[in-house]
This record gives sequence, structure tokens and C-alpha cells, in this order.
Amino acid sequence: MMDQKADVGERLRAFLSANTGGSDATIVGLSRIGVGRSRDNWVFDLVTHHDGAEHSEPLILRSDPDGGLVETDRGVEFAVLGALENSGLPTPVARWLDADGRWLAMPSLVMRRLPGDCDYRVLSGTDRSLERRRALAERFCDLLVEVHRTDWRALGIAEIMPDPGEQAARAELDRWEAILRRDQLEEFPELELAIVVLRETAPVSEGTVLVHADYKPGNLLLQGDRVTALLDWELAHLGDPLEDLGWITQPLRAAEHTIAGTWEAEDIIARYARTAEVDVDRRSLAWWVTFSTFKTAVMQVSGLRSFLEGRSDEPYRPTRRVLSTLLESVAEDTVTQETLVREDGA
Amino acid sequence: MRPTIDEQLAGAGRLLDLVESAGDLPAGSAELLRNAQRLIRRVATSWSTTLPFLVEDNARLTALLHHEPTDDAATDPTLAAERNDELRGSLARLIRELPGDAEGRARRAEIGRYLRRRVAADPT
Repeated sequence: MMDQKADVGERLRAFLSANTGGSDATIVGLSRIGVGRSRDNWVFDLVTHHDGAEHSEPLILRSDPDGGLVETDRGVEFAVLGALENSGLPTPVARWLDADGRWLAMPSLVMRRLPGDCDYRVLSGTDRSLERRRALAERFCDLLVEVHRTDWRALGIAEIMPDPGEQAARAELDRWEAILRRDQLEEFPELELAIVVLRETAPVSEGTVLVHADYKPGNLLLQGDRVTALLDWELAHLGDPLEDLGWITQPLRAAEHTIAGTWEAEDIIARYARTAEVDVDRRSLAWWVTFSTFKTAVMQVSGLRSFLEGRSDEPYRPTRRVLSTLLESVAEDTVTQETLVREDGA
Repeated sequence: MRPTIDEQLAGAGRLLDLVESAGDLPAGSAELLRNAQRLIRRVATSWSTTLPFLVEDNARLTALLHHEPTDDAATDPTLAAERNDELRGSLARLIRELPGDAEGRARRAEIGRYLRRRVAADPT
């Protein structure tokens, strides 16, 4: 561990020196956060001297893990964070990018560190009263609306990523099918069936927004009950707002996003619709919920490959829970279609 | 024959539990240990039922695909697994090629029912 820390410190020093004009920058308090190889984040303070004074900037180095669940483009994340700096959203300032890992061994970005703690299960935990958790849940929902209201055209995000327009659902299905084809080590008839049904029933998007694509309490920092940061923009893209709403209301994520008996999926949908002042198309939302399960299964396929190739220490695999949830979802569609066909023919 | 496979897996699990109970492991090592324990537990609960599952699944898949039954070596786990991979490959191709008409959808519904049963029965 000490060797790795020394290596990261040395690489960081060279990288930051090159990016700060060879100043007398010093790295203080370098330490790794998170465990395992699935998360490679290092926190430190960059101390510089100028204008006769010492300046300290809290930073975080985030590197692409060799065997992450999904290969993502740090360059895109860096560009999106840069565009969002003046958006009013609580996003970290992206400071420097090592796009190809030339300096830091892996594609990496250095961001300004924001205060706060991350708690995946903050809504179901017992640290806060039910009232406070419900208020937090509403804040999370409202923040998602703020993300979707971001003026992505004015911020130049259209120059970073394409607008799929009304074909957003098909575009995302194509993207995740391509990831499946790249990473699958064997055939998965379960996923083939899902792809066929999802492709046949893909809805038309009613408008393009900035989609976070991994919105969850685990990607938020909290200071008390205040959201200080929305993190992990590596999967962000332009698309259908119902994609994010489907992701947070899918049954597989209920433990993270809901409070049993107090804040259920229906409450999220109602709050979102009221705050965003939109009518949520339930048929389209159901498609995105099913797509979310498919996406989770593909992530597990990618994770399995990473583990078997020794690039990851997490023994991922498509689980019974995910596959059965997915098959139930597409079976309902199949039944509906069969019924419609029979009714048409009657 | 001693130790049996179950005894060896239980022994490996017990040794890993001892490492865990000794405590003071660095967080990264503790995570690796938990992952290894999960794998051992999964194999321990599934290895003995995997061959019968594959043999039965191969028979179901052969019928579903309307293939001629073959003389699979039902006692050879490797052959049974290879046959299962072949049949699942055939099923995946069939799903991709099914037409979207009423007949194709009915076939898809039949396949969906089979897959749901398989996922529920898969011991691995």
C-alpha cells in the first residue's frame, strides 16, 4: 500500500507541476478513499505559494479502475463537469484531466473536493428521523428536476455529446446492447429476449434533457441535510428525462430510493411530475424501468468479465434477482402484445 | 472418499472465517476475504445440483427448440455444460430471428415462460 501511495504521489507531483506551470506546488495529506480496486479515488490538498501567501486547495484524484463495471470516458465527464460549473447544480469543479493516463497510469481527472459525506442507504437508515428522511427524499427528487431543467444548449453540452432527439430510447438500447456484445463471454437468451421486446416497444422521447444516468443517494454528498454535491457524471448524456425517473423508481433500487410506507415509487413520480410540471407517460416510464433492469444486467455481464480476467476483485455475475425481474417485465409486455393481437384479430 | 467435496469446501470456508474472526485486516483485504467467502459459499450450495440441473435443462431446451434428442453423457459435467452452451446459443439465435407476427410472439411467450423457470431453478 505504501508503494502504491508513493507511486501515486510521485505521478501526481509531476502531473500537477506540468499543469501549474512548474510552480512550487506541494501535495499534502494524500490518502486513498474507498476500498478495493473497484474505486480508485485519492484525496489531497494542493498547497501553493503566490502573492506572498500560502494557498491550499482541497482536491480529489479519480482514476478509471482497470476492471470497473463499465468502461467510461473520463474526457466526457471532465467536459460535462466543466460545462456545468455555471449551471447552479452542486457539481465539483473539474481542475485537470489526464485523458490517456500518460501521467497518472490510468485515465484520471482531478476535481475540487467538496464537503460532505456519502451514504447509499441514507433514506432507509435510522440516523435521521422519518420526517428528515422524507424531506431529504423530496430534495433528491427536486434536484433531479433541476438536472433536467439544465439549459444544456446554452451551456454548450450539445458540443460534447449528441442529442438523440425523439429516438433517445433506441439510442440508449443500442449503446447498452453494444456494451453487452463487447463484454459477454457466452450467450444470454434472457437478455436477447429483453432486447427484442425493448426494441419493439421503445417509446418516443417527448424532449431532450441532460440525463445523469446513475442518480442515487450514493452519488450525493450531504452536509447535515444539505446536498453539497452531485457526483459521478461518467454516464451522463442527452436523452429522455424518463430514463432517470425509471432508474430511481425501478424495484431493484427501491432500498436506496424509497422509504417503506412513506416514500414509495408512486410518491417519487407524483413529486417529480408536480415539480417539473409535466405529465409522466406511464407506458414510457414502464419501458424505462425495464430498460434500467436490462442495463443493470449488462453491467453485471461486464463485471463478470472483469472478474474472470483478473481486472476486478468483485465476483459480479448476472443474478437471479435481476434476471427474473427483467423476464417478468418483458413477459408482461409480451402478454399485453398477445392480448392486443388477439383483440385486433377478433 | 474422504475428504468429500463438501468437506473440502466447508473446510476452506471455515479457514476463511477464521481469518475474518482474527480481525485487524486492512479494509481492502477484508473486502477481498468477503468476496472469497461468497464464492466458496455459492459453490458449496450449488456444485452437487449443477449436473442434474444441466441435464434437465438440456432436455427442456432440446424440446423447446424442436431438436432431435441426443445421447448426452449425463454423467459428465463438462459435456453437459458444453451442450447447454450450444443449446443456449441456438435459443439466443432463435429469439433474434423470430418474426414479430402473432406466431412469433406466441413462440416468444413460450420461450419467456421457459426462461423464467430456468432462472428460478438455476442452482449456480
